[in-house]
Amino acid sequence: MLIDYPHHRRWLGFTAGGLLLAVGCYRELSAEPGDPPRSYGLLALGLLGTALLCGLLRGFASRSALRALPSRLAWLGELVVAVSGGAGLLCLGLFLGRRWAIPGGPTAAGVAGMWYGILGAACMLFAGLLAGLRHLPAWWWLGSRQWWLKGHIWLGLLSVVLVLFHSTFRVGGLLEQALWLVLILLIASGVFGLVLQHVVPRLLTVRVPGEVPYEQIPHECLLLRGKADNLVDALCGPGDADAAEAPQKADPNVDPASREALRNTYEALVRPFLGPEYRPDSPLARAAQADAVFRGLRSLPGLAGEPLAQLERFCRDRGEMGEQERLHHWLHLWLLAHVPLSVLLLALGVAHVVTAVFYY
Amino acid sequence: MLSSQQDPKDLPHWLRLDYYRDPRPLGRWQRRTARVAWVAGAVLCAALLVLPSIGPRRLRSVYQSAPVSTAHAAFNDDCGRCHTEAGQTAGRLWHGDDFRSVKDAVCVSCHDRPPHQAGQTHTPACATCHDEHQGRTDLARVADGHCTTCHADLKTNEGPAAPERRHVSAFADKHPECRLWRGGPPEDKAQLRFNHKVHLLLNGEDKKRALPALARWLPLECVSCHKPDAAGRAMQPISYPAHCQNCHPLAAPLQGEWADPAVSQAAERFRTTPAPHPGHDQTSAVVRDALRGRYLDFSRAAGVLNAPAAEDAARDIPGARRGEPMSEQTLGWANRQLREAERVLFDHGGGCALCHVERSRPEQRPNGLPEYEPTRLPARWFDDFSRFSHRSHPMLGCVACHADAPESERTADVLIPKLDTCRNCHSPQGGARHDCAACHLYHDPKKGRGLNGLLKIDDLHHQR
Repeated sequence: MLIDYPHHRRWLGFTAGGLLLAVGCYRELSAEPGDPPRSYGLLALGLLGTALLCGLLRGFASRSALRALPSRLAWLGELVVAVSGGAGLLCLGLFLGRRWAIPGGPTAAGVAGMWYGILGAACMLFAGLLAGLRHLPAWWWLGSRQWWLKGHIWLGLLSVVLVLFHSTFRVGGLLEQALWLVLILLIASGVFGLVLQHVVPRLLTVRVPGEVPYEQIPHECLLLRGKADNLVDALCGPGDADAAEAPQKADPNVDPASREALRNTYEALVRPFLGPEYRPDSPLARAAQADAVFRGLRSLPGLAGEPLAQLERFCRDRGEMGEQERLHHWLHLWLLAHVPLSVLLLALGVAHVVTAVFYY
Repeated sequence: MLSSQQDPKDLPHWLRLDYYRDPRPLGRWQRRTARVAWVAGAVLCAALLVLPSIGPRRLRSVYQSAPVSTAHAAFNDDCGRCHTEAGQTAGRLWHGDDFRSVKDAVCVSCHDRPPHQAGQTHTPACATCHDEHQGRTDLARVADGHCTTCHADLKTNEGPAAPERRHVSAFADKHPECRLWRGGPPEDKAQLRFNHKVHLLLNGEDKKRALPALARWLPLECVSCHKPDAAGRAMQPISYPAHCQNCHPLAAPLQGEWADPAVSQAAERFRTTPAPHPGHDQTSAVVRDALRGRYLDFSRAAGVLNAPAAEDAARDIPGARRGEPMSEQTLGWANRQLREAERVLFDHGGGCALCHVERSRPEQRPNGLPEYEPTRLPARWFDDFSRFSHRSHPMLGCVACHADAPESERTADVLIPKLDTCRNCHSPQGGARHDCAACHLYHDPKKGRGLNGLLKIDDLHHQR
């Protein structure tokens, strides 16, 4: 599920309510003076009253001795609240739209059109404030980051509808067309990021059981490589020693030919792979090929045992960190488009508001 | 935790505490991108805000939601020509939709703005109905809602409008019948006898044979008499010289036969030359005077009366001009001819009384001349707020709409069709325009200043 309903319930309800209100209002803004009158106001009153009553009853039931309310009844109560509340807001929107209708239908510069634009811009500004939250302390009255993130998503989506109604479904002039393009790209990048934020963490959990802090990965790689250097030096002798001295410091149980093979393999494949720069094209990056390499090394006389197993563990850890880096980049690279687009939208939006509302 | 990190005591060794001093490329790029984006955004925003003031005028179209209408295209890039005050759009949030960005004084500087009706309770601003920046559209074609704002439930300064015209909101089903037909079948009060059926039946071949003299003007069709005006909207008023004289000349009789071929030809010319028809505000005295003059002129021609002119012994007064001498014989002859002509024209059923209605009694005619009722032919059946263009309907035959014309025998028949005829096409089902502006005008054309505007050419090209 892309959206976790229990945690997003309130924001979802708020957004859906706002959407119904906006749609209902826009629907009736095109009403002509001769159209027959409708009793939207009374309907709205009745439906909203029903929703409020059901909501209060359900709230009372959940807190009282009737706590053992059958889940079906509770679900039914919520359904009644949602349906009657939504219908009530729709009727309220229809009522307001009929009151504010002007001949010729709504226009972007009319009163209703401007209020749509103001509310749409307010939603966008709220969504944009999420970026500034990281620079503020976690004051309790500010709300949790999660709350702001949910608001960012839902009000960001609602803003598209409000801007559509503000524009009366016209693309407008050059500045407005640029705004539309940026908004569409921004929403697309945001939805893309939302999908990634739901998919990638699960992949991280499955594919990277030994997750480490992303910023520590280069340091950890250097440590792993250092440990691997020590381990290979213990088996084959120091790599920087003379040809005559190296065999004296090597493990006597390892065959000279095996030592040489191990040293060559280590210098050609393992050591570069363990470096801070991940090499996805290395054979050690793929489990089957890495397994084949180490199987080949284990077959050499004197090399089977714990040191080689440890070296293999180092390579496996490096592979995991490489996979973690890759998934981390997927999780965050889309922000390189999303943030500049939002700044561009802000700049164009300010220019649009100032020229349309104050300049002319 | 990595599988290599087996010993928890070794864990701090695996962490670099000052990692923030050397951020990874992704973090560096994110911060760099954000900084560049903010700077570029600020510069772009400032440029867009300053551009209207300092940039080329044609760049101002960047801010337009749509180009202005075709009529205003000459100053599409000169926003200040109409938008003379700043902050007007914001003001609409407080004052409501009637508060317009472009004030009426700006429109009136070029356009005439005649009022609509004296009894209207509310006069909207120009820009309320004429919505600009909708592309290259016709500004005069306003949405019906602007009309039905009042006419859906019409109230005037004297109170609610009459019931039959109080609720008008859609032409197809909520529009009263034309005022002409509202009180029942109308009657044409014109004082001129005319039978459409007889005239249109003259297309028949037997009639052509019966009236060979008229053959050259046949067949008679609607368009033989009903000619559109220069704009192609209404028909020109019917006039005797243009539409009736060819078939109904005021032929003056001439009694007598002359052997002299020249005189005989002159007499024939006299008989075929019609007498003048009185114009508006003229009486039958015009006919008498014209005929008398013609008879006298004819009588003076050589060989008509075979009598010399009478000698005049009177001495000339110096500087005075005198008329041509006339004998009693000449005068008597002319008067006899004139009496006969008046008998034919005024007393005969085929003379003036064929078409005109005499209001004097024959035995009490002043000076022997009949007095006729003014014809009072209606020039227009619709008022000035309604308009119809025949030029817009060339595909239809006349009888398609004026269906009663071929059978009409009475002058009192009004042949203007009812609204149901129009609704055959001008309705949602018919497909033709059925908005208010298609047939109605808001601004009273009688109260405009006409075609004499207030500007010079330089005023139109003066840029602000």
